[in-house]
Amino acid sequence: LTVAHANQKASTWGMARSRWRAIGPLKRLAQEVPDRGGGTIHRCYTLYLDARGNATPPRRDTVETVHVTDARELAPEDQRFCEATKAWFNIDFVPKMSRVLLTVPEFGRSYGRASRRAMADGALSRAQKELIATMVSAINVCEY
Amino acid sequence: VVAHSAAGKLQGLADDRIWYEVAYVAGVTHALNTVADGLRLPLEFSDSSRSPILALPVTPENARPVFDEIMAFYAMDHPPAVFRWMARDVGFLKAYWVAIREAFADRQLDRPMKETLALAASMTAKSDWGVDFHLREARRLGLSDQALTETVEVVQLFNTVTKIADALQLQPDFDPCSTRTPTDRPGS
Repeated sequence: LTVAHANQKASTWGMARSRWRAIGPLKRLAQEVPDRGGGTIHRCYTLYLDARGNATPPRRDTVETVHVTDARELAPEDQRFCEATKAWFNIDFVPKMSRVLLTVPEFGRSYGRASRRAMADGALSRAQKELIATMVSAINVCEY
Repeated sequence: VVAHSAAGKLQGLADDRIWYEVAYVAGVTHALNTVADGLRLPLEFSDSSRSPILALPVTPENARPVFDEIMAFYAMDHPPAVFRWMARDVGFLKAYWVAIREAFADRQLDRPMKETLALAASMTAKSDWGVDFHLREARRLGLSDQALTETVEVVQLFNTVTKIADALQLQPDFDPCSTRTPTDRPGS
């Protein structure tokens, strides 16, 4: 299956043709749509093959159960914390988890302080700690 | 998983071999813990009142060479109970042991780091047997008290956020196929 094939079939599935893109080499596709906060959310679909090997209409993957707070909705202090988070991870966006935690600032700020303290280089490096975090996530079968 | 493997790659762990090794350690650790806790095998190093639900077999003669290797690998004077159980089928024991040995061998990641990961996996899975076993192994191989503290803190932190993510069914920020391309850029 290819994105081109999915786009070709999209109209027969009653789905938008635009902004599909592949995630992974096989049968998962993503579509970007506006969210309620003025940002963009990312919807994933999985394509399944029928007995003849033809693609069946994509099935929507699990969806978030809440509106994830946009960084612009956070208090200025927390927006600064988000900027520091971007620098910390060397990325150009604010991770959803940061925004989720800071939705209740009294929780998110203290959790963030604990997290920064624990994830800094110490007896173990930050990279080693990310390996441990990945292991925890794998054992908990946490896709995020 | 997607977020932390991406974050790890951004921390310089770009070589896929590292992530294969993490996955192998996760797999064999979880499997051994499942057998050991499922059959309620006694803990190897801590006091334990557990007794096996099923009797462990008398060691077959043809299992002795692999038991010798296992005891040397773990610096123990007896084979761990989970391997004694596996000796019910010596062919399986021999093959699976080699897989374990190779999963924990020094490669991109060294064995102490892998034992630390196995400890994290065991704590997360709430495996009494695994925590007892891998804590001893990690410490025997040089895990310091400070590194142990940090390991437990990271386990605690990420048992927090993984459950928050699951509760809200958060979709990954990162494209699973890329270390550099976020799939969601709110505010951008």
